[in-house]
Amino acid sequence: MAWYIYLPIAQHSVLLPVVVGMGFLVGLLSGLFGVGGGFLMTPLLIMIGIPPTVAAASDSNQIVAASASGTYAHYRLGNVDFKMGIYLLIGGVLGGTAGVQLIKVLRQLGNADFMIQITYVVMLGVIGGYMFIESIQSIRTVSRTARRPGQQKESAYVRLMRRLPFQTRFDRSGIVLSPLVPLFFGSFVGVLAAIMGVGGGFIMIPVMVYLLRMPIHVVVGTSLFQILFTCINVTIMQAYSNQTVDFVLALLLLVGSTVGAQVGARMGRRLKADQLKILLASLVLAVMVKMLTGLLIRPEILLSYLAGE
Amino acid sequence: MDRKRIYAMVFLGVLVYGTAGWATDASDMNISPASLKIGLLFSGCEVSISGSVLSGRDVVIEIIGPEEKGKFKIKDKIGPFWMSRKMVEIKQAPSFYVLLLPQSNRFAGDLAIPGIGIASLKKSISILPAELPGDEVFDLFVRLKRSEKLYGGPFGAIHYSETAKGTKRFSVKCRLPSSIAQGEYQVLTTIIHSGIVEDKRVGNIQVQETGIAKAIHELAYRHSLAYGILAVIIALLVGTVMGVVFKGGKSH
Repeated sequence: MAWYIYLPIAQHSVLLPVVVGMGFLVGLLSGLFGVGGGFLMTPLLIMIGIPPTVAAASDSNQIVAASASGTYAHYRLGNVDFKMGIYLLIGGVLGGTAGVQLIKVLRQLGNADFMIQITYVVMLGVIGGYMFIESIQSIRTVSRTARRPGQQKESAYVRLMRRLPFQTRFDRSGIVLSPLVPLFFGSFVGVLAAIMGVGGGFIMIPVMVYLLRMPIHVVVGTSLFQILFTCINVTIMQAYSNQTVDFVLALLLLVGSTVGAQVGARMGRRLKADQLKILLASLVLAVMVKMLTGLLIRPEILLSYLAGE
Repeated sequence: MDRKRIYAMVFLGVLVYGTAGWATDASDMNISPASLKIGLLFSGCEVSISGSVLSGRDVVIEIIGPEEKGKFKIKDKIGPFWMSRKMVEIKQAPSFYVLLLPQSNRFAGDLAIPGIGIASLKKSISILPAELPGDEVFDLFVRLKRSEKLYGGPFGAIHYSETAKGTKRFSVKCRLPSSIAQGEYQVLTTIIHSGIVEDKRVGNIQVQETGIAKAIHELAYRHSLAYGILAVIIALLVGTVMGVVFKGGKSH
């Protein structure tokens, strides 16, 4: 029996179980860690012959479904801080708009693509390495700190956060914070995400964990909520400006990814916060190694299609 | 009247010259299927080409896709890193090209007939900016196309079978991948006698999308905003429905 299906925009046929399986795998990661999964899905799609621009745009479309499914699953588990998510989203939109302008300037200066990639590698390395080490140290000392929570010394960062105006309670996250903080960090991630051309989940999650001090399970759900809106915007813009969204491809991927996202959300619930952090850190480091390898190893073919063509 | 007759004769002369020039039509060449419909279940297609020639002749077949243009990046090594350094635009390149030779493959090593083979495409392809080394860029382009299975050959695939009356029959099967572009594909059969091109026959294969594939393609290009919004709405619906389905499964 023929299991192939033709993708009208990619103009390429694919093996049905392979694409649905890829969707499931990436959806699993999305539900487990609250990441969009574009960093993994796009290269996988390119590997099976999908043009890069169609791969990236169609992936955004399937992330809409996966993150909607994941957000819904986490919402039922009480893991979505909508208030925080909206502040981060507003900041992200503002930062993303500024970032798009910044990238134009960087491109005029030359070698912008390389600068973007190397910045990404350094950031992923620092964030992933820090999360990994911190999580291992945390597992070792968790029993002591759990017994003496009142004895933890308040850092200068926490004192600064408390001095900011408009202190607001974020019930779901269990923290009191000025909305200026998520707006600022949302903008910061938005700028980076626009420059790097990614959704920003990998940067946003550590920001939520370490700088906003949100509980890891709420971080995952809230991140998915934010990714949902980012990808809705990207999908519509890509479809309108570049005609690169292949809906048939997205549909096949999302059949797998929505199921994977649900399974991932349940698996995440069974893991302890530090275990989840170590797994996420490992994933971040793996992506960093992959990107670094791509910069250091000679490509098989030195010519590649220009994005948007 | 005389002038009209002269015009008519000149017109007929031009017509005869134009149609009976170097390439003749494909009346003695069969292409099956001559029309390819790309639907949602399309996964590439095998095309059969056959015909007959006089004994002692050889046949070389080219399948040439519609022309396309594209922009590309060329990577270069700077320090320890490989990075994109140059942009290049390539125009008038066939989107698909395959060269098929007789099974004996005796042309494969020394096919030096002008205008035949991937190397001959170099003359018709335009590479911009002109300052770039054309030969190097062309080689990179061919490697890229070969990796996509859109350029191929020479393949020793044409089979001969002797028939009566001093003729022989040729036949070949060639698989067109699913990633072929829409448009008119030219099947160019060159008949060679004693190393010299004796005749050329031209046939066509029409490739076009049909049914749902065509409808989606047209919606995406003609009503792109509506297409994008629809894609998002369906994704949201499927995502939410899957969430509800999982909830239902858990509660029972």
